[in-house]
Amino acid sequence: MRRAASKILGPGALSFPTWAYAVFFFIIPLVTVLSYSFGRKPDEFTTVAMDQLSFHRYGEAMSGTFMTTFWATLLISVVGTALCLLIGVPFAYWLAVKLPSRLRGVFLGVVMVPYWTNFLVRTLGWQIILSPDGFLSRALVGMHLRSTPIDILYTRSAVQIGVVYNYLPLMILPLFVSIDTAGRALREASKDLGAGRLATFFRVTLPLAMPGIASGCLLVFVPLTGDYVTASVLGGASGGDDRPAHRQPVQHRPELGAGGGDGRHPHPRHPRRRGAGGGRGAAGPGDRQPGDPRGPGGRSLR
Amino acid sequence: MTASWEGPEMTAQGMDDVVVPAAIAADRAVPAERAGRRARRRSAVDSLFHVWGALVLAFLFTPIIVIVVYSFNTGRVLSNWKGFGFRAYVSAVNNDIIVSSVVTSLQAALGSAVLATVLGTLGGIALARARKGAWWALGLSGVLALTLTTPEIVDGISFLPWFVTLGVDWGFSPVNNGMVRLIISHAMFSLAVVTFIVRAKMGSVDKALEEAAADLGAGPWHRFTDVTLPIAAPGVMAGALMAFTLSLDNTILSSFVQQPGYTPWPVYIFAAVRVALRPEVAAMSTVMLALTLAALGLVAVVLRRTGQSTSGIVRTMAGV
Repeated sequence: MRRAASKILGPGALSFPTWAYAVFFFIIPLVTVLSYSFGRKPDEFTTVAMDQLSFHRYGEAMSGTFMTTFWATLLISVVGTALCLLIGVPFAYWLAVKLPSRLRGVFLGVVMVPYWTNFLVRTLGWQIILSPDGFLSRALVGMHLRSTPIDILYTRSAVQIGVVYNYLPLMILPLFVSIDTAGRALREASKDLGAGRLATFFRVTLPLAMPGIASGCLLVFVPLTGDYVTASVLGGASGGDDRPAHRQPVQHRPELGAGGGDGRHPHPRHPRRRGAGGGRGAAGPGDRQPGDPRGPGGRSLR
Repeated sequence: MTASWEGPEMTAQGMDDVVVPAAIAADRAVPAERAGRRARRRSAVDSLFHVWGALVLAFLFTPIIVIVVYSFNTGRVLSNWKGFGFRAYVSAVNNDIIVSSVVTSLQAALGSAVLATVLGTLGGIALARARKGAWWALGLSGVLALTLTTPEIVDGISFLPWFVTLGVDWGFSPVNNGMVRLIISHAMFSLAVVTFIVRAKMGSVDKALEEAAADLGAGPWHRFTDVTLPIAAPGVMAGALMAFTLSLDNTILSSFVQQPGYTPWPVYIFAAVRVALRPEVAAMSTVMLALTLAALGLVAVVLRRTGQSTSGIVRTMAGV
């Protein structure tokens, strides 16, 4: 009797509320949307009809606009992840090996600060820096390093800088942890056994850091593919695929400010489409827009 | 790549005060002359690393410093510097829409942190106490890991029709409330963070403590409140603060599930970007940044008190 009671009230039962929440508010919605991807959109006012199941939506997602944005997203994500890795490995190595241990905690805390600053706010910081009438542009022109104002905002390069910046801490932290836990002792042993500095780095430190590299790449790549906010703030309407519409002179009119040019966002649903097509290929069928009336921008504000 | 436009910023931020470590113990076996050459080369490589470190830190901090500095801009447009003053702060505090969006954000953060902490503490303790290979434990870890690795935009797309189904089709009216929606959706992802932090904290504690309490006559309830919870407390607190900041920071998911009248602060900023950025946004962001950093500093102090290593603290706080 006692046995049975403890079995029911054991750790398995303790996890029940957590399970219930995860099933009800994560698995069911996800599976529902997944099933919608086999449905169809009967008319303009009905979101989805499930009477005829087919793979047509996937065909649509694989074609035209969706594929273009999907490739653009993939390119930005892959390049962004690679750049984060290139910048992050020497930095994490510096943090874990080259810094005296009493400073390590302080500097790690310092790296955490941007990670925990609202990423929209950081992106706005870039918008100020990169804007053609901003201080950087003026300084460069003033020092005669450039003859014209910098023209990088609302291009693919701006988006690339923004995403590398936004996700760099996510790369640095796991890299640091893996290099730090691999330990000084193994590196010193390698040197004692006659390996040079480079050999030690490539044959001891780097292989031991592999788990950190893998989890860093995952942590950067996954959110990057679904990030439409950076793309729409720094890249104009649709994430910096270099269509001329983004670079219309209206954005550069100083009276509208760097963030001006409302016209570059003709359709509030646009960034979401890009994300849906890019994030998961066909996670959301292209022609079905849940909750059409509200764009991500929050119409209620205006 | 970053060097060219980071250069001018460097000195302004005082990033050049990196301390060079003491000379590394010389290799005793090597002749003095060769050792000297090697030490010189080593210090050259080291200074390259220090330069790189300073550059990356400058890269990481420039936009944040820019936002903080520009929050004191007295001009009408954020990026166009007119002069130094606190006008933006005053008008931000007097702007009803800004204040109500910040209040919405704080309420949602508090609500989702409470919800995620209660559920995550139970889940974390359960996972730490699970038998090896128990199906429910493996399943729960897997599902929670999936919630962390799913792009937010996918969560957003899934949540919205589900809320409509629940609230409109099935008549479960609470989910029609914007605040409830924000709390439910934010708790969904912070639940995993809290669970994993609590599991990590509990995993290192001997199960024998609870068995000893049972042998000494404590019932299941007292065992839980007097032994298990105090052990888990630092993890629970760290998890709660993490959940709070994650919710405060959330933009993408919030913009999908938000209802009119319940616009959280980051969504407000995102909308404001499209119209014109005013210094008020930077001012309120600076206030929120200070708030977030205070919360995180508290987490770090709590974790430090429980004797975690630097690596451990970072791992816990970054959820990696």
